[in-house]
Amino acid sequence: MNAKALSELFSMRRFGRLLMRDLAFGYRGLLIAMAAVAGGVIVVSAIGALGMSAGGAGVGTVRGDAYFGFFQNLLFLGGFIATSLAFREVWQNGSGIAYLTLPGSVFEKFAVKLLVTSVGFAAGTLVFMSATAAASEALDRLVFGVGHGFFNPFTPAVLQAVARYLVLQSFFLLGSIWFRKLAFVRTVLWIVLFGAALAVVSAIALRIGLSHHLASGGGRMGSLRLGGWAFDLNGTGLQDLFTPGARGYSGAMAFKVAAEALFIALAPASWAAAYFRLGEAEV
Amino acid sequence: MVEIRNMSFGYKRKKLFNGLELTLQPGNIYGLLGKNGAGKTTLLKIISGLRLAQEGSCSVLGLDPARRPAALLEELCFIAEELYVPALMPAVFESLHAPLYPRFDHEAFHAFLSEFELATDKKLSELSYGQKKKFLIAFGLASRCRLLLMDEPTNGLDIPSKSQFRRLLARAGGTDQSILVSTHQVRDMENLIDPIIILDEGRIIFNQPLREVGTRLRTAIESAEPTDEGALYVEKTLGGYAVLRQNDGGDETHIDLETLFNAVTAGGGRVHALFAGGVK
Repeated sequence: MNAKALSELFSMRRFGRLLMRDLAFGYRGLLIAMAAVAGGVIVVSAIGALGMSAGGAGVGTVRGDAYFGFFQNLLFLGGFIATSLAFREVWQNGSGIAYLTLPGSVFEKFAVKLLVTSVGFAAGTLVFMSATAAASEALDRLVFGVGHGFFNPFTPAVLQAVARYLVLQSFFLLGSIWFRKLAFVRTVLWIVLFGAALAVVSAIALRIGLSHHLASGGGRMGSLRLGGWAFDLNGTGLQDLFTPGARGYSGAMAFKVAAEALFIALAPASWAAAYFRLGEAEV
Repeated sequence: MVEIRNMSFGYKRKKLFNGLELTLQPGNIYGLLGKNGAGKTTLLKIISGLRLAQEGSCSVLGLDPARRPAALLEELCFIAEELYVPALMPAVFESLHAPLYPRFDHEAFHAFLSEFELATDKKLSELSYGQKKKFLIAFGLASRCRLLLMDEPTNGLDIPSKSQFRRLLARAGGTDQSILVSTHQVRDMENLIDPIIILDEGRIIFNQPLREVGTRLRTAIESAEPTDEGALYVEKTLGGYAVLRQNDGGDETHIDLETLFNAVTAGGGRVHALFAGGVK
């Protein structure tokens, strides 16, 4: 790809301008949502602290990691809703024309939305949650003398949640450009249907792969029955089949790695599909 | 500037264009006329890459609009009939959008805004429909894009604004710029749009410069219904009959665009015959 074609595909100047535009268009809604969530966190946390205090907890007691739950809800639910709205302007009357004719390549427009809704949202949520938890915690300790512990954005659980979010949000980004209306609800519906289809396929694969362990009809004592099927486990539990050293272990590990690889691969696949869908969107 | 060759396009239940041919040259303000549902807006959308031609080719400034390349979008501005403005102050809108257009003329933009008597201390979303339209027209003209597409630009404008719009448009058109105006309001655009393109039943049935039309045809209001063969088209109107005749004098005459449009779309075979070779 030569320099001209590359600059046609991506220019930092245009990308920066489009990013600024996106942030300027969305900042009002974002501020309102942040204020509402911060208020909710502070109130719920204060009620918890009051309960602890009334329950006889001594001054200085610090219990649990309550903010992690808030963080997860905000990251996943808030992030999925925000991502579902990413391409709303493409499908709204009038704004679709304005957006699609904005001087910028399809790649730049897509990259802006992806950056804002994935890394941008996750990073923003970490900063926001840290700040809100700090404010809430300070208030609780000041007023009630007890607290829930500060929010640590660098724990493995938090980082793992962020990684999961980055994969899962890709489905909602695709849904945002795929569905003209009710993108969030429709994406959830499709994920449920996809999950059900995957479960059916997995069950069939399991049935074929473990056919020599299955006996149709009745099973012997100690075997595991699943519907009309019965696992013949020779008296061992299902878990035992997949423990290290057991005969099913390597297969289970291979399945686990394949499932994780598929899960991770779905993110770039969804992003690519969303990119191409944006390129062919007609209004 | 714009080259459309053998282009076909249709919606699910309706074929709109079949083998459409159109060429737009720089330095003109084209008037795109057509009945409701003729496909004027769709044609503008295909030129701007918002709809994708199903067959044939469409090239704008040598680029394929269907791919929406940034180099093309920097030189193309589409002021749609369906307006959208964000809830931003005009100055913020300008600071966010103007840098995306390499040749944006800030000075001209502010001059256009004051000519339109637009308040700049209110959010764009709080303006009336006509004010929003004037703002976007001012922005589009100031963008100095080489191709400016306007869909019904005078709809929703009050009488003084229409005059202001005509003045601005007459001044704005550069030699390297093409403006394509789709409109039903031909009287608003008289003395401004030239050439005239008439779209009917998926085809360009008329595409002529006004000077050419004025030297070959003449329109007049006659008190009595003409019965002679010289009348190419007659329609009853207030105060008499609007008549389209061949202009035998050779001097350029003023053409009533409404009468011309009605004559052409009514199946004016004799009108077409006069422009044989020029009609696509």
